Amino acid sequence: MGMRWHLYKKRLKSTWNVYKRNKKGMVGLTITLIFIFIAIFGPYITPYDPKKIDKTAMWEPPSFKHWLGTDNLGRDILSQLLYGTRISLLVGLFATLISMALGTLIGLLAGYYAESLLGELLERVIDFFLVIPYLPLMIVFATVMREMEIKLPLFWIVIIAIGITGWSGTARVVRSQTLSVKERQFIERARSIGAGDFDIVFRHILPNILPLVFAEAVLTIGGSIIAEAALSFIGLGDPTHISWGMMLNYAFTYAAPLRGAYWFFIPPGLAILILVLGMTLTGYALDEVLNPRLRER
Amino acid sequence: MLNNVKLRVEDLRVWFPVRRGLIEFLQRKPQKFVKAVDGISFYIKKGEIFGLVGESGCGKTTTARALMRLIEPMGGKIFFYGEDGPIELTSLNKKQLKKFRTKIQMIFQDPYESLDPKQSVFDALSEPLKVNKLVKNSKELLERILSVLEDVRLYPPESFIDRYPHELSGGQRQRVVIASALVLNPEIILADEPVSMLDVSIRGEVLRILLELKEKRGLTYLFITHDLSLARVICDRIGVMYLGKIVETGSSEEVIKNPKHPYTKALVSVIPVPDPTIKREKIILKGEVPSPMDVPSGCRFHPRCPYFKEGVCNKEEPTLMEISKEHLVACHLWEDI
Amino acid sequence: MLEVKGVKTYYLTDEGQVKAVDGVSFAMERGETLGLAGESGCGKTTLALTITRLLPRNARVISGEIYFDGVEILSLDEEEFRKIRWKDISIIFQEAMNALNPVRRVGDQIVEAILLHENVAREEAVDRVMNALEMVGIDRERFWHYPHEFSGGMRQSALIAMALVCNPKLVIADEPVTALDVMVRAQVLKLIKELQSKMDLSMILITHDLSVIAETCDRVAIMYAGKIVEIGDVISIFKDPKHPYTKGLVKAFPSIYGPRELPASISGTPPDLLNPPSGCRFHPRCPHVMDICKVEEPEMKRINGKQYVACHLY
Repeated sequence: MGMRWHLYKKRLKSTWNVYKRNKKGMVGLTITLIFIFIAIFGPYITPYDPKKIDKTAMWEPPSFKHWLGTDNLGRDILSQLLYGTRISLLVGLFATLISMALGTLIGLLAGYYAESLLGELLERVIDFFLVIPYLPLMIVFATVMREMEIKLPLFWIVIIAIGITGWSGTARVVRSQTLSVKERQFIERARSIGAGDFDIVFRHILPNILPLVFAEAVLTIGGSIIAEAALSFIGLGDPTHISWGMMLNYAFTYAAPLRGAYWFFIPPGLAILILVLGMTLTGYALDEVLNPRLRER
Repeated sequence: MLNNVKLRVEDLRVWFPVRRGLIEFLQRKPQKFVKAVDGISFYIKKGEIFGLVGESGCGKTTTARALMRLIEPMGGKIFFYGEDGPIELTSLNKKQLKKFRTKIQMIFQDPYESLDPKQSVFDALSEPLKVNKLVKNSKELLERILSVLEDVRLYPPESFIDRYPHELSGGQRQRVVIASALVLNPEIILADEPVSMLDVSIRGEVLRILLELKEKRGLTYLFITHDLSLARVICDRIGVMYLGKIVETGSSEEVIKNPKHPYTKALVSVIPVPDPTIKREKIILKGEVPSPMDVPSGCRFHPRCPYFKEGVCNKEEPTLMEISKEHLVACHLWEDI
Repeated sequence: MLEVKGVKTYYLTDEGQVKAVDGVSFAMERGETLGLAGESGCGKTTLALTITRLLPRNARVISGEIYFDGVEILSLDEEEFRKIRWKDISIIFQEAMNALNPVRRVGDQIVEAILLHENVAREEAVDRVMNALEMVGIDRERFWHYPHEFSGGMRQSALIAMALVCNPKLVIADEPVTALDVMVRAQVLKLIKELQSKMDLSMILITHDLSVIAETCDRVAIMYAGKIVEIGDVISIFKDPKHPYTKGLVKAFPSIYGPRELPASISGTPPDLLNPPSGCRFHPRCPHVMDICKVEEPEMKRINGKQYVACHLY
């Protein structure tokens, strides 16, 4: 139905109009877009090959030649930072996709079947994952997967480890939203015309909670990026790819703080901070804008 | 009588268990129930509009949901008289129920809440057909949808199919709800306060559509409302409910002009009348309707009844008795008052 | 006692100005009950909020004046008006459930209303509240109860008590019985009528339900799309309505003493207050529409005695 498209566009436009006026949302969006731009075009605008070792220029502080200085092997920090954006964002994105899918599915089931045994069970599972600190859990998963010598590139192991520990926040939000949508009269109407459980959950409940799921997703990407940085920092990341976490790992391994080589560890740290801040602001703004109470009538 | 009955309800009960805390469970206190519907029996004739009237909490809405088995009754029988003879609804299993669903449909009270805001009119109307696998191709689907939109007087139907609920007025939304019930070609429609949330000036139009459809399609209606003046003009026969039981039933004109049960008398005496020149004696009952968790003994109306007789009314529950043609009352003292 | 002149209250929204009240004028005398009737969106609640100056932040009183006992109240500053609000003009809100704070005792909330507006000792206030509760048919004991322990009808009665406890000169009741069951409704209306006679109250009763108006009001103003289209004494409005909208509205309420016919309906859809129809707001739905109705807004004209209509037919 071609007509459907233009209705979606209308909706998008009106959502954008409201979003535009949300100051923190605009700040967040701008930051996020800048980083996305860097991620896509970064490798083309880096002044140096980030992996190029230059023994003549080791530990150089920021200068005209190297805007952010060099690391212990003479590699340009700025180039590493720009390259790393891509990895951080990709890992964040894929890991988020996994946690969103998992979280949404579990949340929907936990909410829809809340009164039955399945629902109670799932609720406990969600609570369990919520309560356990994600960092240790993630470390355990990552380590176990490596030990098990699963035939997957390290890159994907990292993503999976983050994805399967980060779903509980989404699940909780989805579950509570499902509980409230479930009670609305149009759900009862759907039942009365003969819709089965599957139809009700995926045709009625999901579309009605999708906007909030989306907002939740943006927030989760921020968390995933930090998670990736954490894993890489600890040494469980993928050393073949440059990421901000990896940069921090090297910085501390080679005692950059002791040497006073602030340019080695502050840029990646700041990058993480600013990007996650940007995404969080965007996520909160989206949540405000898409709140169902405001949007429908 | 039996050969023109469409629906017959026998001693229907819908009780909701009250959730017990752990301590009560350990104390082995008896399970408490909210007795929303506590043994009602009535019948609806083919092509008739039967009204179930009463104040909020009397069980009328729960009855409708039980008839559709959106809520499971815990006792009683429901007989549907179709082409193939009587079917007893409470005994149907899930698969049979799904097949049967198309025969009884419901119209809900709140036009703003009964439509999925994410579904266009087309989606809302095609869902019943798709879910029940009643159409073979998209051409047939579109035809049926356009035709049912015309039935509810939404002209031109093509302009409505791509609209979303928030783009429609209350009256239009309610008509879409009616259309979505009609699209399955049901034989009985349960209308739960179909106009009480609409602006007064649009109610007439929607009611007219409902009547027109009844004539055109030979439908039978159960009309639920708290508004007795509306029940009088729309319904052929009515049943007055109080705290889960039917206390009086008969033709709407008869019950309202000549009420026999004390509750009905009081209710009729306080019906709002839009006429400043009419003065009448109002029987204003004291207190409120008790909770369905603690139903009074004997006749459940006895604590508020102006004619209460000790030893009679609080001892035994009265049953519905026929006092004149099709006029039944459940009261021990109906002859004396 | 109360004179409203040319009041216009608009809401400022993303899509433009919603002309909720668009030029309303009427006057009220002491001791009378004026009904403000109209369907949802006609502006009656906005008018009530304008008089009591309780409008939400995005509403603006564009023009007009309101005189209460000779004092123009829209131009007073907040501090000065606070002395009048509740003490002289009080309001009974629509949603009784939401108007009471669920975590505080009912009695305390009403006492607070007194203490905020009058300089009396707490004991005296408590005493007055207990009397007020008794007057509305609630046990004095209930002073110490929480709102959830009250039934719907009792909550409404408690709100009435709260509105009356400072002995105001004018009470505005917004849909006081709409959410109630018919028996409770009868109880509350009986209460209102008793209070009307006992206390010599002046009241503005806002509702869409004409039968409430028939039972309690002396005069009625019919509102449509932000304007008053007809105003007169209650018997004339019901028995001899002049404006086509009034006629249609009266016929839309079935009476058990009348013929067994379906309620009449008014064709068309409710007006869009962002872009109201030109000329007479009712013209798209009027069975007697003439060319002039589409262009020129009709003025309020006196028909007879106390009845006024704004319609080109007259």
